[in-house]
Amino acid sequence: MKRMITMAAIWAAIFIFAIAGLVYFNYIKERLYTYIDAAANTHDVQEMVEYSDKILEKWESGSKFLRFFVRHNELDETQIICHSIKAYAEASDIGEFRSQLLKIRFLLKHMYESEMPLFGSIF
Amino acid sequence: MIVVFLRAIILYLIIIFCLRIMGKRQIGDMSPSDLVATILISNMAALPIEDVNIPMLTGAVPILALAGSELILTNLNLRFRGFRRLMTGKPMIIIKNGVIQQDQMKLLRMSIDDLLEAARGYNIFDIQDVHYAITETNGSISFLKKFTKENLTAEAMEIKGADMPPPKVIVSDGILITQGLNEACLGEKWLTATLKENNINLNDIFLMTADENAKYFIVPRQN
Repeated sequence: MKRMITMAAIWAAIFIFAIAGLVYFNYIKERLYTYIDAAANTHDVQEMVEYSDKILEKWESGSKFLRFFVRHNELDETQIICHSIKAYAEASDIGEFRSQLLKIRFLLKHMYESEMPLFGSIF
Repeated sequence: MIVVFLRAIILYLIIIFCLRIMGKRQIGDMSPSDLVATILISNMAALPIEDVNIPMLTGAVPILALAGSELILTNLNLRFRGFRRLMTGKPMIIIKNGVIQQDQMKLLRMSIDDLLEAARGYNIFDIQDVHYAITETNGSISFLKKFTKENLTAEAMEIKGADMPPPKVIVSDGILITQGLNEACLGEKWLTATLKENNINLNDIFLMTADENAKYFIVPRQN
């Protein structure tokens, strides 16, 4: 009986951590989407640079917790792109800038959906 | 490299914890679900050790999930006979009244060599000596010899005696095991007197056992 209770407590902790992680991931994702959409719709280079900084800052603060349950190579790939968009903005390479923003968006969606207990991610 | 090293240690401790939670079984006594869980756990543990991109939690959680599932299954096995039958099957008689049940052996995909090898494990070298043989749910075979081939017992020879519990370990590697001493209903005074009688110190003892009749056995430490 003691073992069952111990294992039940461990499973409960896992589920609580998993749900908290998903809620937090969703929060980070939505905030980043807001910045990404705003950056993609602006034509002002200065604003693009500012949004790039915000995206990088938000990603870096959020990814510290995401490291506990998301594959590190996927996080690293997103990190690299977040670092590179500022350079594209400063060089006024709007096409590449928006393309990289779309990549970040896709990666976030992919990582989030991989963690969600959906039919597609389980099977 | 240190990361891989630390991950290996942490996962090793998690696996030990999970195996302790799952309970003690020797490999030969494992049910199919026990065996599956053990193999899967060992394989899953290797993944986060080899690939540092996999977060530790993502490596540990499936192991804990399996250990928990195994615990639930074993509890269901204990409570529900039908469930137990479903999970482990039922024992099958392969020798009945001295006659080999060849149809049962075919069902079990067991060859005669397997049967003879198992019999030799029971010190049975002539299959004619076997009255009953039963294949257990874990795949092992139990044998019942014919009456005339059974080893002599004290009861058969009408020898009377009392049942005695096994000797207890009193000293292990120079350390006094108080619990063993208490279970053998012996006190420290007896121990001190015995050690003095044998002219030996506690630290010089590798192993000492004793039973309730104060019959003891000492293995001195080899230097």
